[in-house]
Amino acid sequence: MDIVHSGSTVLASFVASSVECVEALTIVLAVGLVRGWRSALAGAGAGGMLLVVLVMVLGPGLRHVPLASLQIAIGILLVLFGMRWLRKAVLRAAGIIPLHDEAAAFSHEAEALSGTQGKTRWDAVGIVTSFKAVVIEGIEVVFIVIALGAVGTALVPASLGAIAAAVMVSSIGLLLHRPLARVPENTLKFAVGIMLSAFGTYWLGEGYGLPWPGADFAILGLMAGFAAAALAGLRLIRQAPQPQRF
Amino acid sequence: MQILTTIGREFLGLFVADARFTGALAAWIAIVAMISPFHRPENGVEAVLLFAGFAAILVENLVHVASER
Repeated sequence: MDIVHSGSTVLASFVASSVECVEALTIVLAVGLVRGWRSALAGAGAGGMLLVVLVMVLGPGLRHVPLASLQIAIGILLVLFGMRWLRKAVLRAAGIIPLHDEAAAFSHEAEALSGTQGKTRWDAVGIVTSFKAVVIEGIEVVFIVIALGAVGTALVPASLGAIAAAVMVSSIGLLLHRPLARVPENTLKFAVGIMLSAFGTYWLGEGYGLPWPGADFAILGLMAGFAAAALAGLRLIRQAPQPQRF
Repeated sequence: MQILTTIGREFLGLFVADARFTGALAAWIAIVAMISPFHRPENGVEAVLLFAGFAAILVENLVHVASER
């Protein structure tokens, strides 16, 4: 596996996983502070183990699929996923839709979780809430790890990127005991959208049997191309009359 | 059961954004799939066109969403 692929894979996996881990951390922190840390960490741990099992089962299993079919299927899913993120990131940057506010999400979750029941040894609501948060946010991480790893035979680099992100975000979050509201989430989603759209387009082209100019280095060209398109779209939005802003 | 439904809905939501946007992407993917078996250039033009289509759909949708606000 060459440095362009493996480096891009680790970076895309790390950044994408960081964004999702921050969102999951917000809910786990709310659960921990309101319902108890034992329940929060038990639910999060169970969710994390389920995600690891999913990667270990699905990742290697995809190697039995014919390469061209795998490239096309994964390419399509990566394009749809990546361009959804990219589109949303541009709309947030333009003020068309509001930015994701981790502090507000934390407050909302904490308020929803607080009730008459005090902190008990094992709180079912806390465990389930924490488990759901980790699994729901983690499903995107699993998809990215499998998509990047299965087609490019880079399951290990993709997994390492995701694990590094999870360890980093949870360590910082549990140390600070508050949501990571200052993380430039939209900028990260913009970058991840570009990378995943580029990877998806590249694999789709490969699956269709289309030769890419520059071979593997075409991925870098695609990233530059998607960045240019997104920034052009952002510029066009800002130049048009805007009746509503957040 | 509710958890499974939520997870399933969340998974589907990963790929489907605005229906118009997703539909346009799917249509372009299908068009390139239909014409690629019949044309095999060696200079990479078709691959570049694959990207260009996606980029055009992105820009058009962004402008369309902005104009509807």
